[in-house]
Amino acid sequence: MYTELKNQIDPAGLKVWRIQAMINAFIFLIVVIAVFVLTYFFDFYSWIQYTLLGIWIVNSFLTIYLFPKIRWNRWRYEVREEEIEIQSGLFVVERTLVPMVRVQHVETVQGPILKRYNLAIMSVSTAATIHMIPALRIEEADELRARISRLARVAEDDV
Amino acid sequence: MMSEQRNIQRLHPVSIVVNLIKTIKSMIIPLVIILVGRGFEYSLNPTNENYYSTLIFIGVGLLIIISVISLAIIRWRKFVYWFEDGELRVEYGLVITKKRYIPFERIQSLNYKESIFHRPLKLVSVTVETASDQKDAEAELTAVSRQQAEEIEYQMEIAKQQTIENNKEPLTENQIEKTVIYKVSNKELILLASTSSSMGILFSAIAAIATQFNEIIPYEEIYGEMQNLIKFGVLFIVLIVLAVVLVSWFVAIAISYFANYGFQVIEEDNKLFISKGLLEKKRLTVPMNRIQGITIIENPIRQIFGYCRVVLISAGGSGESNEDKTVLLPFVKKSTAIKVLAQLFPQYNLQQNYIKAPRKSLLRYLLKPQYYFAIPIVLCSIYFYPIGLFSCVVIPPVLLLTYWQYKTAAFSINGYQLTMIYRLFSKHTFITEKKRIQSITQKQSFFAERKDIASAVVHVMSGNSGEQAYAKHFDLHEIEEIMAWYKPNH
Repeated sequence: MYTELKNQIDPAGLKVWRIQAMINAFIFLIVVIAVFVLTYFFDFYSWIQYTLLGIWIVNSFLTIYLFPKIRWNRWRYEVREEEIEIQSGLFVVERTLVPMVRVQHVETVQGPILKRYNLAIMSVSTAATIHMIPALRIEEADELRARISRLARVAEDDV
Repeated sequence: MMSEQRNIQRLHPVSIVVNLIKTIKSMIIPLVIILVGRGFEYSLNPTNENYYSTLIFIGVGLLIIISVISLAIIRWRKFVYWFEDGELRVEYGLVITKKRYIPFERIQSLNYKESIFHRPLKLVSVTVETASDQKDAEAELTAVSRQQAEEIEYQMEIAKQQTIENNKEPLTENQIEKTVIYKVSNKELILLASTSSSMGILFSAIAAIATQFNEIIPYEEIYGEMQNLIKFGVLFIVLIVLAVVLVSWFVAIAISYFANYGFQVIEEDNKLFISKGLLEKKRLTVPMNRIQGITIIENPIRQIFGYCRVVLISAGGSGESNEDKTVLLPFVKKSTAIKVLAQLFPQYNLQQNYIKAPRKSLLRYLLKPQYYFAIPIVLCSIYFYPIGLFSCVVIPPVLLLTYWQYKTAAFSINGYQLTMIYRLFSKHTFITEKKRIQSITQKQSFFAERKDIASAVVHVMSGNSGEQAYAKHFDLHEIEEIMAWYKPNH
């Protein structure tokens, strides 16, 4: 009964996640450096700076290398005639089923980094929830958006 | 449709007061912070160093008060509404004038509220709700007379009949039945009030009594005359605490009693009219076709005595549904609830064969919540050793609760109906239909995968957003059955 979903997200998406994580790690690094400087001038306990540095190294490894890799491997989606199925997750795998008749609108969003790689995030909204498919190639996202909004017909009585 | 005379109507001036009170309520916390933040260094003595700052403070305060009052008055002056072309048209706004035209046939419900300011003047506050999921698509008339409110209803009726005539459908006006679904009895009301007030207060009252007994007995035996004073002091404090707790409990009972007084549900023309309140009267309208599901809630104490509360999950409407959910039956015997629900929702079947959580997931139920406590307990035990070890006392009650959660968890699929039973603290029995579910998510952690255990989260629409129901830690095949059932072509 369990079948793996067909589509994976674009490999460039992994790159984008890593770049975003690097930007975050860089901001964190500035904070760490600031603490080092302050410790030098104001005589703080030195264990604070080293713990912080340790946290920074572990955090960077996890958020830049390991987590994006696991997440990318987990991410799957499939848009069928009558339903959308999305699988995601890091430690907990979530698999969501959204019938087409429940879809209210579809949206694509593109930030500067995503734009550079010609990618977009697609979000599908129902009356109660919003579901995202991150990092689709923009042509694919546009096509998918058009297809979903064509397939989605809201039945009057239901919502 | 002919355009009626533009008969502009205004709100009653008491709406200024009502709005003012709303503004004051939202400003009270920052005000207190500012007042206390200055450290009470106020003085009206010209020689005092705080004299000028106090004057400035009072001046600014007066300025704010005057501007708030005048803004409220202008806002009232600017707010007008009228009926035209089968629409309710509202115009308001301080600087930017906003116009909102709501077609009568789009109006889902009119909700009435009468606060203590409205009652003596025979006024009501009317909230107009539409089917749109945007918050903006509503209008609130803070204070209008009963005749004005009735006129809105009357105009709505005319508009609806005209659309029916246009569609050449027969008029069904005389066939509309009005049935009283439920009316709260006095006994239920009192029981409701005394059990609904926060259990915490009750428990602390019991705890206070218990400690009092503990304290008195050794004192009497061991200590001499000198200690009598201290004993009296302790007793005095205990009594005061007890009195405060009791008074607050009675106040809570009174509030709940007044809020639910005369609770009544009437069904008419496929709509539910729920009215309640003694000092502040409320009347809610819930169209039957907007109801997404129901939840039967039994808190532990009420469950023992076989009582429950029934809450409607209804789409659209204002924020009301979030804080103060649409309660259908505030406090009834479960057997009565089942009877009422069978009458209202014949499509729901309440007798089901439930699938229970499997034995293998018991450990998951017991251990998972303990992770949240693990770190605080360990930290507490280390830093405050040995007293910190007492923090371990939270473990047994949590274990009991989670075991109870495991025993409660169940679900069943029957035709188009999905029933899920789960417990947070109170037992929730959630009933919905396939066509009302917005999406279902299946969840499985890495460890659960090895044991073929999974969870499902069901999302339905409630108010402007969503609400969830859970089936946690069931056998993977059973969860997959829910997913397969939910597939559109199934």
